[in-house]
Amino acid sequence: MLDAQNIKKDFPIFSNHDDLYYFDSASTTQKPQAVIDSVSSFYSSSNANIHRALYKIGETATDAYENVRIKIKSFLNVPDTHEIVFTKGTTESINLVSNAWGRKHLKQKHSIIISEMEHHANIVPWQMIAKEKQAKVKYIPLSENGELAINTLNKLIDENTQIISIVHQSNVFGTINPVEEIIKIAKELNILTLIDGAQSVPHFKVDIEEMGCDFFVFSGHKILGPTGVGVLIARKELLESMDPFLGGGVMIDEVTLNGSTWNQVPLKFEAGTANIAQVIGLGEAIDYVQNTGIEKIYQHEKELLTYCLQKFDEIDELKIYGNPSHRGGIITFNIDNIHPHDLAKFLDTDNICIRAGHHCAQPIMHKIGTSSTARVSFYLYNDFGEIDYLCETIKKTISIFK
Amino acid sequence: MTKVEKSLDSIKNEFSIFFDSKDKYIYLIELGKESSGLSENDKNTKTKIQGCTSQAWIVIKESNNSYNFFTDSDAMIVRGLLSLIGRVFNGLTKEEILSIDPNIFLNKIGLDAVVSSQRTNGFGQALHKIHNKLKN
Repeated sequence: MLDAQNIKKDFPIFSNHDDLYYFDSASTTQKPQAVIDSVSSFYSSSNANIHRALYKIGETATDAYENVRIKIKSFLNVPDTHEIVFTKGTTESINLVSNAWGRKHLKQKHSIIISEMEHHANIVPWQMIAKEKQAKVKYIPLSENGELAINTLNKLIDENTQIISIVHQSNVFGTINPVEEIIKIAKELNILTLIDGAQSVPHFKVDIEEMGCDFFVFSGHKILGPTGVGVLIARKELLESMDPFLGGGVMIDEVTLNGSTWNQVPLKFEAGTANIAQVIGLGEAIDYVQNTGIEKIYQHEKELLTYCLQKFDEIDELKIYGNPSHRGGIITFNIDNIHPHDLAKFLDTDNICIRAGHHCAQPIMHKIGTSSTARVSFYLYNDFGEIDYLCETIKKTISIFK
Repeated sequence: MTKVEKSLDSIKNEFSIFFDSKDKYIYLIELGKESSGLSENDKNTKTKIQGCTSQAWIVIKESNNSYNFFTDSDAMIVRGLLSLIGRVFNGLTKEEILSIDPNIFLNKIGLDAVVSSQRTNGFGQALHKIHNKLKN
């Protein structure tokens, strides 16, 4: 186990709130002082626009920004830094692909396969482009225990299938999907794959080259980084074949009154002034995760998950949704006769932060027959003692509602 | 003091005996349980309060230039909160209801510190829905 109490000292939110029990890292993570300092230091010491300023602080800013691409390349084993595009988050990354790739390549009757387990960010962009192109979105079914029925994939795929876009780790059940298996099937049939890594990259080792997907996306704020920064990783030749998503700024090569030509990748997809400070903050966050050790973080969360599942099992009124065999540190649940919003408000009075709602996954809520649930999620700063306190407070809340 | 101000003041006094947020929530839950709520038929897209993170609904009825409000939510704290709307506004005229700025309702009953964000609980949206309906 990691020494969570010691780790907490690196996160000012915990010293600014004496007894904060934060179980909502799947929504957003807390930030280490080093990340906050890196953002502040950029503005204090080297604030300038990147890729164009011909003076020292501008070059320092450009180097700091571009160095984060190198860090990501190493952290996730991406073959080439040109395959790493900075966006403002997972949602924008998927929208970039659905627009820039989808608008160019999708045609009438083509199909896109996603799953019933997806976050809205991996549903809505595909529905939008499918409507525009008169293409079809198909869904891999979700079973009651929170796993995908991968055995249906062969039936869903046909000669019109162009892309399979799947979540790596579910933000509702914590299910870690067998994406390697899906990618293998897709590759054999020349179908592209997109993996939504928003909930995976922060929590366990991801190796892009080994995984072999065509597109991979994640967000900075879920891996201790600032909000407003995300990443799209894509094979270079795919990025080169795609038209730009947004126009203006550094994405051009030449602009005339008759038309424009585009910069090389990845800058072709980084229109306008980038989120420079946030990218630099993300680089610092990745350093923090690497220094702690991603494998240690995974093991730590696994132990927290096992412990919390046992403790939850002792609460009769508590119902857990899903029981996937391979899962990360996320538990979705409800308490008999207590609306999850009421539960969240009561827990908040004891400084416990949990998520309540549909978790941006309404199709899952329909599937499990509820409009909202409560959810706890763990990260490197949580420990067993916090889970004990959470369970005691849930029991007290149950007694209030009786 | 107007009728609206009197009602708001009376609610504020009721809640003032509770010192911490938990006790205030418990009282809101009691109010939620006492609320008669809405029939399933009345819970529809027309009556739904948009922007609320739980499901909530409001029905506005007018008779002889006075209005009555019926509310419901699947979350008990929100149900209790929404019931306060009827308590303050029921039987009043359009002018009387519109006299109170929706943005300061919670402040007037002393719950703004407890219900920190009107954006997520639907209370603000419910009040704005009333204002929009009565103004048009």
